[in-house]
Amino acid sequence: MRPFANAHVSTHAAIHTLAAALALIAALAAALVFAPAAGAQTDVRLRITAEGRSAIRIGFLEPEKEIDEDMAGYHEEFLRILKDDLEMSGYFEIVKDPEKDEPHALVGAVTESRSRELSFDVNLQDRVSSQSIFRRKYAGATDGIAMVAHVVADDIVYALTGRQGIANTQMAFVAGARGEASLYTVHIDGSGLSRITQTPSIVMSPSWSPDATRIAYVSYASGDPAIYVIDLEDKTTVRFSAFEGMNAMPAWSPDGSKIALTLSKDGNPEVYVISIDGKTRKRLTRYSGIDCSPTWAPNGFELAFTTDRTGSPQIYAVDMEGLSPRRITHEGRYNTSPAWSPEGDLIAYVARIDGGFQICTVDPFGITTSVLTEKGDNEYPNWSPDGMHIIYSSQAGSKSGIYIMNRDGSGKRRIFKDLENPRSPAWSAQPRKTKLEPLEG
Amino acid sequence: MRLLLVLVLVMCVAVMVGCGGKKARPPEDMDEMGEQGGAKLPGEGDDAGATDEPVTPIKPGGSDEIELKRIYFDYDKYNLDNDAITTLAGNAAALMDNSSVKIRIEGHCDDRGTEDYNLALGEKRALAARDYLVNFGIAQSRISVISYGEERPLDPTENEKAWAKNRRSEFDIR
Repeated sequence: MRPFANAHVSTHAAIHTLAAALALIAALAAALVFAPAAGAQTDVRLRITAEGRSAIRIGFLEPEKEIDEDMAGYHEEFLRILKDDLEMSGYFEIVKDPEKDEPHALVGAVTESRSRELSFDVNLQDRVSSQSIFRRKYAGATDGIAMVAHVVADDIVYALTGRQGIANTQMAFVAGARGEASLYTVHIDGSGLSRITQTPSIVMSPSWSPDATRIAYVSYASGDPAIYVIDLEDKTTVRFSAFEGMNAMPAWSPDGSKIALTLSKDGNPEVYVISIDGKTRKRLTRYSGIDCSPTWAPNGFELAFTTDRTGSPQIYAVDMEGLSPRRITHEGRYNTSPAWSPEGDLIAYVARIDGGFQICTVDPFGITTSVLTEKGDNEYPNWSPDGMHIIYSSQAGSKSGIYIMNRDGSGKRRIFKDLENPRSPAWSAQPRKTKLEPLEG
Repeated sequence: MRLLLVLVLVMCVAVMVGCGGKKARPPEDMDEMGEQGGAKLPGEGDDAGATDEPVTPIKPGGSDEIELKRIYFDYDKYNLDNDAITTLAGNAAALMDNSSVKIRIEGHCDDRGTEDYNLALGEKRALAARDYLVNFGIAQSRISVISYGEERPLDPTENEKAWAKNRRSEFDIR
C-alpha cells in the first residue's frame, strides 16, 4: 500500500497542513474500507478534493508591471483559459479578492512581446509567507496561447498537488452516422480535431495504449468485426484480432503488454487477454451466456467485466487466472460497461434506472454505489488520467455530446458536440506531446 | 441427388432466361426510338413471351427461391420464444431442402442500453438462432454469425413498436 505516493511535493506550510489533515482522514477511511480485503486491491492514494470547501484556493494578483496596450487582449485570453483549466482540474477554487478571500496560493502573470512570440512570466507563490513556489517564463505564438495556458495550468497542478494535470491531454472518440462512423482524436479543450480512420464504417470502443502512441479500436471495415491497432505516429494500422464471430471491446493493459477483449469464437462472448505480439492468448471467463466489456484494475491483477450469469447484466471482477469471479454490483437489473479508475478505488459503470441509463460508481468490493447522472441516456464512462474526472457520452436531444464531470458527479459540462453523434470517448493517459518548454525557472 | 438435379435445372433455366432477356431488351433510352415510332425491334416479337414468365425471383444459383424469415426477441433477452421457434423451424426446413445455401445470421438490438452490451446481446441472438439450426441438423459450416448491436435498426423511431421490430435476428443468404 502506498497511500501517499505522489500526494505532495513542494509547497508551503498552510497547504501542507491542509493536505496532511485530509491525507490522514483519507488514509483512515481507506484503511477502514480496504483493510478487510487486503491484497485484492490496495492501490489507493490520497484524494484531496473534487471541489467544495476543501479545495485549494487560488487568487490572481495584479500584474507586477503594466501590460502593454497591444498585449492586453492576449493577456486576458491567457488568464481566462488558465483560470478555466485550473477550475476544471477539480483541485482549485479561484477566489475573487486575493487580499480578503485568504487564498492559499497566488498567481501573478505578465504577458509581453518577445521577438515574434509572446512571453508569459508566471509566478506562483504562497500567500502567507509570500515565498515563491515557482517562477517560470513560457513562450508561445499568438495563436498558441491556449497551449501555453494548458501547460502553465498543469505546472500549477503539479506544484500544488504533486499530480499530473489534465489540461494538456486528449481523447479519442467515434463520430458519424451509424455504420458510417470514423475514429477521431481531439484535445480535451476541444481544439485540434483529427480524423484517424479514413474508411467510414461501424467503429467502436477506442482504447489508448498507456504511452498514448497507439489506439486499439473495433471496425467493421472489412465486413466483419475486427480489432485494429493504429500507430498515431507513423499512421500504420495492424489487424490485431479477427477471429470468427465478435472481436470487440479492447482494453489495453496498464503495463501496455496486453489487450483484454471480448471474443465469441468459442460459441458465446467470453473475455480474453491477448499479448500485444499476439503470441499468448488466455481465456478468463467460462459461462454460456454473455461475458464482455473487460476493464483493467490499475495494478493489472484483475479485470472487471459485464456478465449476465445471474440472469441480468452485472459487473463482476476476475483475476488473471480466471478464477473465482466475484460479483460487484447488486442493485438493479442492468449494470454494464465498467471502467476501473486509474487509482483503483472506484469502478464507473452504466445502470438502468427508471428506464434511463445513468453513470454510476461503485467501490471494487461493491459496498458503496453513487449515481452521478440524472437525465437522458448516458454511456461509455471513462476516467481522466488523474482519476479526478469521468467523461461519458450522453444522448439527450439537443444536449447530446461528450461530457465531463468530477468523480462525484458535480461540475458537469459538455466538452464536445461537433460532428454527428460524438460517442465512445476514451481519455489518453498521457499529456499530448508538446515542444513547449519553460524559458527559465 | 434430386436436389442437385433441381438446382442444375434451375440454373439452366436462369441462364437461358438471362440470355433471352438480354436479346429482348430494348434500348435503354426509349426516346431514341422516336423516329421508329412503335415499330418492332428485330426479334422482339419472338421473345416477348419470355418476359411474362415468372423469372424475376430466380437468379443464377437459385438461392432466392428460399425465404428465411426474421425472428424477434424480448427486451434484453436472447432466448427463443415460441414464435421464434416456429419461424426457425420453417427456416431450418428450407435450409434442409437447399443444402448448398450458406447463410449469415445477423443479430440486432434496439438502441436502449449500452453499445457494447448490445453488441454482445446481438451476438447471442444470432448464436441462439444458429444453435437451433445446428441442432436441427444444418451443418455449422453453412452458417456464420455477425452482431450489429444497435447499429442497424429496421425502424429508427423511438417507441415500443419500433424497438420490438429492431430486436431481431436476420438470415442473410450468402
